[in-house]
Amino acid sequence: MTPKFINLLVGAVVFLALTFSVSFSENPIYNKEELIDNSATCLDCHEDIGRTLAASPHRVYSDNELPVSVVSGCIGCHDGWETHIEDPSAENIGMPSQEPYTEQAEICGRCHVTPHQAAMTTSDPHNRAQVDCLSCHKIHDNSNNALVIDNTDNYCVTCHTAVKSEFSRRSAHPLESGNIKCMDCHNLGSIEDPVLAVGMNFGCQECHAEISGPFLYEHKVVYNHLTVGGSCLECHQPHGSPNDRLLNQPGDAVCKQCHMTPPGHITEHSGLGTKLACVECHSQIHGSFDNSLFLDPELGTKLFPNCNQSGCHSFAN
Amino acid sequence: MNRKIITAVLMLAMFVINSAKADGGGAVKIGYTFLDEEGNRAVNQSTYNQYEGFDFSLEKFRYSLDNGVRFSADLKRLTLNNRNLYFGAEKSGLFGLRLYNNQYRRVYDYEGNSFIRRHTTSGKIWVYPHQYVKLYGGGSFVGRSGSALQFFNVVNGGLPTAVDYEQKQANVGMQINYRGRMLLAEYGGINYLNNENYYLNQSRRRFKVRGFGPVPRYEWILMHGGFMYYRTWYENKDIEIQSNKGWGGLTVNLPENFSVSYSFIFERTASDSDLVGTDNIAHTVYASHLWPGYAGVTVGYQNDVSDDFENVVKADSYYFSGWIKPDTKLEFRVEHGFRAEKVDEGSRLPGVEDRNRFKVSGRYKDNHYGSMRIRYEGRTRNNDQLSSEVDFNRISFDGNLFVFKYAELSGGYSYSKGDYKNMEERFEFRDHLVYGDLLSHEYYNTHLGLGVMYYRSKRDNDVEKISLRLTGRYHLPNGYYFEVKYNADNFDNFHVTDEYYTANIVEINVSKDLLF
Repeated sequence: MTPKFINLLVGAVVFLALTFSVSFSENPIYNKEELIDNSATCLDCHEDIGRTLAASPHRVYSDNELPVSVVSGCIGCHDGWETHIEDPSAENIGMPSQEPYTEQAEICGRCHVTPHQAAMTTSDPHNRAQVDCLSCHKIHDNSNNALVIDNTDNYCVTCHTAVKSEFSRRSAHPLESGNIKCMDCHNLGSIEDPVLAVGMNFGCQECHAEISGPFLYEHKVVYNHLTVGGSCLECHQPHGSPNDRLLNQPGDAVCKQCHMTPPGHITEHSGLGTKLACVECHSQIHGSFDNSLFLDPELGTKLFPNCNQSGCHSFAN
Repeated sequence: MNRKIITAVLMLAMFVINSAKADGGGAVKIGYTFLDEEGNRAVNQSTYNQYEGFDFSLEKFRYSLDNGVRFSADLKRLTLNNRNLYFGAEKSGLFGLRLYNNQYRRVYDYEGNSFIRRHTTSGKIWVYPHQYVKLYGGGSFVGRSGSALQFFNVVNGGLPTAVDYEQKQANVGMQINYRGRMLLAEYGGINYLNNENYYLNQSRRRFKVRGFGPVPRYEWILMHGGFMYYRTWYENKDIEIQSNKGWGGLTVNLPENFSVSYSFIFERTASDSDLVGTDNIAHTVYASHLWPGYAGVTVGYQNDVSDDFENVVKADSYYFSGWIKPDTKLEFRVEHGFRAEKVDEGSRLPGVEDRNRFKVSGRYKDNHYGSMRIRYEGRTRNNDQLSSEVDFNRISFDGNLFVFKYAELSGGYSYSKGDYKNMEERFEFRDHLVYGDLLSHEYYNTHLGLGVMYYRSKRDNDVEKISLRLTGRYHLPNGYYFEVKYNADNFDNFHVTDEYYTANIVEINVSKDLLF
């Protein structure tokens, strides 16, 4: 984005913020007057609870000067309020946090009809594990974006603690320093990517364009659109690895999970003194424009002076 | 550009603060970070992005106007190269804006002279011109420059390679919501420019539509579907890859808390680099039953086919998961997945392959005393043709305890066991990871914190990592705090003599709580 575009963007937002004061959204279950009047009645007794919503999109006030941004109110989420107003009791007011996940999804879905909402109630793995909305979102006493429980956007690790530990390994994506977020890679709530389904490595390509191809000579395991299909994860552990560069096995071992050392390579070069790793020569391992063996295109100029300088070979022999 | 964004953000915040009745809060922090390092800068990843110097931050800032407009910001380490910035402004149901900026350094050599810095700036904006219509757009700029050593560097003589590229991304879209129905259309593109190797310059375009909603008159059936077109090509080469992907499905909510869902994916990807086109087709069925508040069970089956018109690989996958809450404080979960691939026509190098995944966990959670969780996870992969096997197991334990009068304790332990058998050699590792934090409540105006992380990788690896954190925070009058943090980091690879590292990092801060 150019600076000019940024300035225009900021200008547009300022314009919208200061000229519009009307929110168009409303709760589809109740009209705005119902929400305001009855929520104000709730706050006659539950003033303190109303204040816990002050910093959130669900905020309500107790002085009847309710802001027009109120789209949910108390009664939008807490069913049974009619009876509760007549006969206040903890037994007759609906508490979404105590409802099963399907009921919670229905309550949130009254207003929040989004791709996220759709996926979380259909194809997402969290739906199959029957994880409820309030596992990730906290409604009261929360000023975080989207009311998630942790504003670093890494709240996933509160449940996925074993995954969290992977980010402390020898090499890892920089999650702990806040440079990436879980959602940068995991398309949470995406309908088109059920966990077991196939698909291209769009996620890795978003940041690692230089090695993502397409190449004239593809290393077929890199692209899972090919029938060899494994993708980046055949060689790398994306969260963290006990090996350098997120590799699932160190050095040549990662190559040898599929390939044997070709017979012609077992020479003095595989001895202790001069052992060369596979990718010393096959440096274009993700794919190449030059040769189907993924050899370094400048291998000759790089390697042969080294051979000469090492003292093992001279130009004469 | 970063300065312009920060200036615009601050000007906007100041303007709003002075123009309307509002409430909000946050904290301003000023301090200095001292960094004392010794050893190989390239081996300890968690300190790659540490810098010494003067530090200014505005943290957890939020500001709400009476008309419902909310501003939020988290501007960490504004004056250092590891800055991490966020600014947001939104009004529910009307508009929103979010801006992000951060930098990350990756070090490649012993002295720290060879490194790459990646800086990322991104933003998104959305408006609701009508209650059912959302227009949105966003963009990002990623720049990566510096010098890197190749993984193995004997061939190029150990000289660093220059890296300099930038990537611009933008997308726009429209989403229509109407009484439980949604339709979305989005178009986006990426331009990648490599200043070191212009042959790698490439562009991508992506278009997708998707929608969902209940079937009219049969509201208990929810349908979803979509289509995505993706194309990427090189600017200086006649090479491109295209993908067309369609998907769809439905979820049928049956009586007595039963539900069945079906989804399919059809993807055709063609690359003109190797003249290969591949169809990827998947059909997935899940059936679930729920005992509300007590238990749930799901079984699933997936059949997928990968067909490049010469070779056909088919796979059958089976899935089972279940959970039970015998008590409001106790929860058990189990999940198992099995996938068997076979080469139906033609051939491929990996041949026939089986994969297994198994997870089981138990959790006890008490709002007063804390929580505990134990989890086991196992994964296997077997390939007879390649004589290749992977056997990964992990058991982990974590918990929080609130029982102490003056402090809260959280921590965990994870043991991972990996056995890889290849055609010519084996690789094994045994990883131990212990982590914990002890945070005191305020006592005599003072908070104290102790944190530790110990990582040990053994067998074919012999690596040890230790991180120790000590924090002291003193509450001064008028919302001021004086804070001292000490971090000690240590890394040792006992197999490689020059792979050791020690760092002592001291942060001294004064912060002030803001309340409006």
